[in-house]
Amino acid sequence: MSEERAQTAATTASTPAGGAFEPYLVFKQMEHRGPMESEYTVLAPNAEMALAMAQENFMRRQEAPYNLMVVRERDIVRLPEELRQALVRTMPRDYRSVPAYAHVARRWQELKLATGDDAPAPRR
Amino acid sequence: MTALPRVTTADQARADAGFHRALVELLYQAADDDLILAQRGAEWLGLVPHIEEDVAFSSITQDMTGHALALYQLLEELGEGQADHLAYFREPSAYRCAVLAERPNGEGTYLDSPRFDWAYTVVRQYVYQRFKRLRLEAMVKSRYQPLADLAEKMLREQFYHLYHWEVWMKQLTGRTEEAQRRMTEAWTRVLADAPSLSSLGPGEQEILSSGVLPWSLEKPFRQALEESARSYGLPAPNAWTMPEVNGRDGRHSPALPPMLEHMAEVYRIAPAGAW
Repeated sequence: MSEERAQTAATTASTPAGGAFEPYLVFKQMEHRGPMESEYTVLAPNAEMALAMAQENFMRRQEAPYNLMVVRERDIVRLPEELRQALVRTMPRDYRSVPAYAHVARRWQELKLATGDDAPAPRR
Repeated sequence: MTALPRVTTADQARADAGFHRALVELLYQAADDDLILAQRGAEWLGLVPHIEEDVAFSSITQDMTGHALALYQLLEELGEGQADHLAYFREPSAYRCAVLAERPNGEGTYLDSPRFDWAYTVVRQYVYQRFKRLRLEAMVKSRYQPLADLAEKMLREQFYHLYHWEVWMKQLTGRTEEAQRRMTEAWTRVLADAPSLSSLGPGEQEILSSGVLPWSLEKPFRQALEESARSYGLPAPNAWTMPEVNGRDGRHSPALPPMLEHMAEVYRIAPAGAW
């Protein structure tokens, strides 16, 4: 994170609870253990208000969810731009995908048969 | 007390004059409370101090109108006339809403310099929903089965109406000095009208003895208000004096007639029209 941005975050973080209105991200869960799906943001002075606002704004037209959750936007830690190059992939990594190694079990079996490893144990 | 038999249909209710009279009376009270307070809520549209709250409040207001409609439909089945007509075409003296529901939101009107009072609105909505919870819980035990069934459905939806205003009560009490002062002022004004809510009007005895409602709402309501005062650090309610007019007998404050006129303006242009 740039120094300037880090400072801004620190200043906001010292704002007393219930102070300024801030964006909260709203997530819904359609069922128990279902994925948390990002919906939209609401402006609220604290998490309790954000939940109350999220509920009414969300429930208005859509199918009722199993649960709702809110996260203050500035509490979400994102990779800063200069570290986002860590996400870049330039070389092929086919070997990490299932089709790339699914044949290994079959090949292993073939080799076992060829070397007689899989033959019944010799009688004494 | 021997349990009176359940009344399961509108025809059965109409066959018993005393029961019918008591039932109709209570239904008007509940429907008119929701309709009129929802209208006061609707007047806030676009003026609420917070955009998400504008959406949330309007949504609750629509729900309340929906509850009123469902109750007017019960009245329609009982021979009182069309639901829309009941909502929009009666004389002010035919309304049975509590005076608390009809009080203006503050100075000015929706169309002319609205200087509404948010603290009063929060406290009034909260106190009403607190009361409505108790009335619905009693209605679930009503002898009139269609009302008991409806109340159960409404109760599930009403859960978050009360929750919503509880959040606001908590937000605005015990914070800054100014907020506390405004909330205390609002609380005092709302408490002065609170007895109008739990009043069952001149038909009270009949409503209770016929089993339309299984118990009086005054005592549980007063207890609930005492608890609220404790949890939000507000003055405890002391005197329980009925306001000068309480609405339940059809006598209302001067605020109701112009409000009804405005609310019903479109309907009254062409009552037969389909909107």
